[in-house]
Amino acid sequence: MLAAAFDALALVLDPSRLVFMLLGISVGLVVGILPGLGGVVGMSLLLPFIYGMDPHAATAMLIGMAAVIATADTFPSILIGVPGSAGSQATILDGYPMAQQGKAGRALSAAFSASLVGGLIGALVLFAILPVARPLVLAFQSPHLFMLTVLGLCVVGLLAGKYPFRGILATLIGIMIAMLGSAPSTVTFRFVGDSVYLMDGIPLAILAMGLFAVPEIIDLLADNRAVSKVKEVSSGWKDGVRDTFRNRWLVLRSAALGVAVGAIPGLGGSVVDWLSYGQAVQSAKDKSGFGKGDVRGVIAPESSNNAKEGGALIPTMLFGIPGSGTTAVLLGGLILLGIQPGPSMLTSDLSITLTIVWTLALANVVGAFACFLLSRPIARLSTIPAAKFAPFLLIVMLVGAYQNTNQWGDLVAFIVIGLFGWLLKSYDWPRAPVLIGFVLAPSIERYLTISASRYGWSWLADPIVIVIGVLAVGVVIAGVRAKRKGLGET
Amino acid sequence: MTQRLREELLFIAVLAGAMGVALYVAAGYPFNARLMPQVVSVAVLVLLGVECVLTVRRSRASRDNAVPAVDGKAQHEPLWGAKFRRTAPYLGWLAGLYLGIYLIGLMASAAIFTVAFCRLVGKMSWLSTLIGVALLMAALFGLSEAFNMRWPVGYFFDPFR
Repeated sequence: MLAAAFDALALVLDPSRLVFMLLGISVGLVVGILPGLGGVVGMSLLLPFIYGMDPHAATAMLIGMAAVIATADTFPSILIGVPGSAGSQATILDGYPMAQQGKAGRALSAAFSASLVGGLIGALVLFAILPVARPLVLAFQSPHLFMLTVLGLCVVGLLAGKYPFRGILATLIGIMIAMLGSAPSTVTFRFVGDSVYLMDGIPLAILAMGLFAVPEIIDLLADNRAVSKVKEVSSGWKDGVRDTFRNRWLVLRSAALGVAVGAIPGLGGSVVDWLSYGQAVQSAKDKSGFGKGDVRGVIAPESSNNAKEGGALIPTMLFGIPGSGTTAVLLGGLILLGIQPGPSMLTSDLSITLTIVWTLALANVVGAFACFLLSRPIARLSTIPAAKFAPFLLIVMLVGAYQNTNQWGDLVAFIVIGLFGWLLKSYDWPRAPVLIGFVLAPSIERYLTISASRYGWSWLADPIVIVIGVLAVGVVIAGVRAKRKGLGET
Repeated sequence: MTQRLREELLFIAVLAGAMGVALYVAAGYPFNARLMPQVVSVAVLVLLGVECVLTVRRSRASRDNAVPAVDGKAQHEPLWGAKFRRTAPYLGWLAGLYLGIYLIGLMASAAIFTVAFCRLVGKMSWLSTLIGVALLMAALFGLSEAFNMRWPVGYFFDPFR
């Protein structure tokens, strides 16, 4: 295995392939920095170019792109309070307040160094776990996956925002939005009326941009201010790196959690940062700073969302079950290249597998350093008044929205969801759970349908299901009590 | 009852209305298609009832322990008041941009919108405005060429068609 690993490293470092990895990294940086876009969009952009390419170069380009998105998406999360992708939502909770306090530099450098460590751990675990992962992944059946998804949604709903019931409600509203369009396993179109556009449902990118970017821009313009309330944002770079090393156990715990959650199909991207944020809050002795600009609230999600890429590749490569939206498109790319994910990834296509592992590690290193280099000029953006950048950002988002289906419905959906997001923000309803509910709705519905049709209702008596169910109820009760205590509610 | 509380209760009522309609409509679907929406909409309706009570209680508690205004703005500012007056002009700009896209297409209206907004709202110099708009248009054309992207074309005419 080690000899094969070094052969794969030589393949990756071959200049003709290295160029493609760097190209993928560059695209990943741009996609990560642009709010609302994410791994799925980036993969979709690169996919048309891999036809006929050398499989090693093509996979290096795709993995290079995917690996750095979780690093670069920190910029919009911290600087403008908009998630660069689904996996960087929790970073906003403390990263954005830090930027508003003029600590954008510290927040960014802590995020990049934590991302680097997390990404490397993800690649290392992927390498170590490949031969033994099969029984682990197969141990999860539909009822367990359904309950795990429910647990993830409960945690997300409770952690986001000030009011726990609103968080859970927002999650459910996200699920209901995802119900628009065709229903799985039947030929029914739900809640679409006469609209042809809605038959395919609302695209994820439109929901993400509408919910987050539009309300932020409207409020920044209405308040006539820049993102950062403090003019100086460039200090604290070394402090951020020190913060990461000072919280090394948190980084390691979060990375381990990231790999584990990433490896569970369907859970990955949009939940891992919240779970990681939750464990950071739970394990902290002093919880008072969380949500107000605590650097640990940046380090934990950033470490885990990079590490989860390694985890998500485990089921993708070994069973052809994508661990996330990004790996779903990657799976399509591998098949286009003539590579059939499955046990052959450990035999005849082992060199491809190891190329992926090396690319993941190298791209994390290169991506983190590139982000460090770009940080200062990009961080200065947060001091520019909104009126000077809002029109450009708005046009870019409209263009991005229109690329989903090339219909006017994209633009209408974008603005309708944007106004809905503005109402949610204005009335103190959390928006991130809406997005997560939306993302996980197809999985949760699929798992529920499969569980009901395969096991009837007997799956509810499964011991693992009961344990996860009790855990979910416990999490809700504990979360509601903790929040009420914190708010001083009666 | 404060203006803010009235607005929040109205918002909850609208959400409840939408969920009620969803529940009613879903009843006509086959079992596999209606299971999830019915389960979720019933859960939402129940939780909205709880949230309604909590919102009223929170409003009473905050009235008893009034939080002082920060930066001249109340902590829980009503939407339909000073905040809407501050926001309305920008919603107007957005509506204008959409109208422009509908009439003359995205590229032309994007150019006009950015120039007008940067000059009138951003108070940017002509030089900065033109550089910014030129970069934006170059990026849009570049993306269009590289990835074969399409833009919404205008109803009447589109100079960039």
